[in-house]
Amino acid sequence: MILDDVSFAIPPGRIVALLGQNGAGKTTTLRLMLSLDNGSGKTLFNGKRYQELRYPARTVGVMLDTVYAYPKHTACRHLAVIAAGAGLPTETIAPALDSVGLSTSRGPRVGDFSLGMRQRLSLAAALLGEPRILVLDEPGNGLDPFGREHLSGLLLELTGRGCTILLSSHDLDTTAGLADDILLLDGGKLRVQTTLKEFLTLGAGGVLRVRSDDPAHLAQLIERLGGVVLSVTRGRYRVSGLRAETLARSAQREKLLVTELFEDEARPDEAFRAALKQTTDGTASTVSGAS
Amino acid sequence: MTAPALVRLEFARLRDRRSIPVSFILVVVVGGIFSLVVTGLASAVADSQSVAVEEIVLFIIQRGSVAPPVAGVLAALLVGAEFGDGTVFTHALIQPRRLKLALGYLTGSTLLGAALAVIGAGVALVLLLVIRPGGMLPPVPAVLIAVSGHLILAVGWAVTGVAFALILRSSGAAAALTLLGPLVIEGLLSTAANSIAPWLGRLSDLLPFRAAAALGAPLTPDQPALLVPVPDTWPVGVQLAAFGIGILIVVGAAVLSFRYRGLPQR
Repeated sequence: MILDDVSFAIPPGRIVALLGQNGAGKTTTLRLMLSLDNGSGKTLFNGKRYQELRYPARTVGVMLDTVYAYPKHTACRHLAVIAAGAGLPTETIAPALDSVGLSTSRGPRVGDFSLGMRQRLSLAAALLGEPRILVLDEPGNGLDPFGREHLSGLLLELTGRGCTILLSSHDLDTTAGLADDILLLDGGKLRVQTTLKEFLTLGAGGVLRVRSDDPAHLAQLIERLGGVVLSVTRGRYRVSGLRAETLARSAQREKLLVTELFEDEARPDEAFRAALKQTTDGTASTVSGAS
Repeated sequence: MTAPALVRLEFARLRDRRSIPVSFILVVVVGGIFSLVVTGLASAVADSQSVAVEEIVLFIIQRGSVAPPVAGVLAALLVGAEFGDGTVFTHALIQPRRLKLALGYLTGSTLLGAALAVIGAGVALVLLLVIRPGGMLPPVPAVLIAVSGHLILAVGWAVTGVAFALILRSSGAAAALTLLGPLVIEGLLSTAANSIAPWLGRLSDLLPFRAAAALGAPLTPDQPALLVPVPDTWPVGVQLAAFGIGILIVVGAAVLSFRYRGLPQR
């Protein structure tokens, strides 16, 4: 079984990030929601299953992790093909391309697109029917910082117009960081369902920044105490899941010289990894939040 | 996506002259070949009754008889390419009802092929009028029967090609099976059946494309037979029924496979 008992509801106008490591089941969840895979569950969009929607492209915009296009087509032609199949007027093509920052003039063929351009085109295809619901699979993949910034702005603008967005990500990047609510998948199970604010505090109360003259010994000690090493930069460890007092006393007992020990706030990506580690270890219970 | 939507989409795809998709060329070529064989057959019968056949017309007749298997391979490539490019996802998102989508592929390809065949027929007619300024003689019943037989065989082969593509999800494998199945594998099966028991050999004559051999029978002695002629052990009606049932089984398996399997990641 790839997914087990994954159930959630998304209120209108919210951005929800579906987070999880590679292989956690994010894409499978989205594929099942869209009937691209067969499973026992069901997903309702505005009270109807995807198969029951008369004009799916006008209700749900879908961006899968790769753009599926005839490689010899231009961006315009690709969208024209989709519009023809979906019964949409060709007048929708130019605004969709404009909104993602792609040129409407004859440009390179899709087969020659960079990953970032393919992502933009895929998003344009999702926006073609001006849907009120968007399902986006890793929309920030392959985008440069400017592209991500543009995408973030677009997503905020869309939610401002009443769009509901479900996006998947393997990290709490700038795009997923816009989310109102978080769903954390691990091993095919929905481990965390909460607001972003609560999720960021899930990493057991901040982060310790610690350094020692014996880094190997320090690493062993952190592991024994159940801490999670989030990063190591020039011998300086950023650790979650440990209290400063506990670490200091243990180091003293083991005659380990700690040259630096600070309490710090967790960055979003660190909170994500800490929460992920805790949920996979079973040290954090599933949180049900507002979504 | 329904069949008309699929046809709209296919034409939208084909309109891009820069793309020059393989399917476009193949559809035009096979439409042209088929039209040429139809008109060529008519011309050949007329010729056999009156004047000698020009070399070029004879060439068309002899080469044109390969149109049905080419139609099958083309159909397999058309649908198999959707899996290769991953555009079957796009189609499934536009039309999430799989049964409709599968039927759309089957009927859409047929409609598209027929539309292009009409265009090709026009081209072929002009060509033949150029070759034979006197025009063609009116068709006789034997010609109409032969033309209908070839048409049924071509449609059956094309539908089989689409069905194989839906099951195998690969252009190459589907095209190979579409070609080898009727032309080689059925023959091998029949030989094996004959070596086991004579009654089994007789039964193997009802394998779909062996049963359909009469449909592709040559009209003139110079024209090579497309399918190996089988002994006249079964009535024509039984043979045609076996051909139809065989195709229905393959199409049914394809629809079920497409309906109940998830779509593969590219």
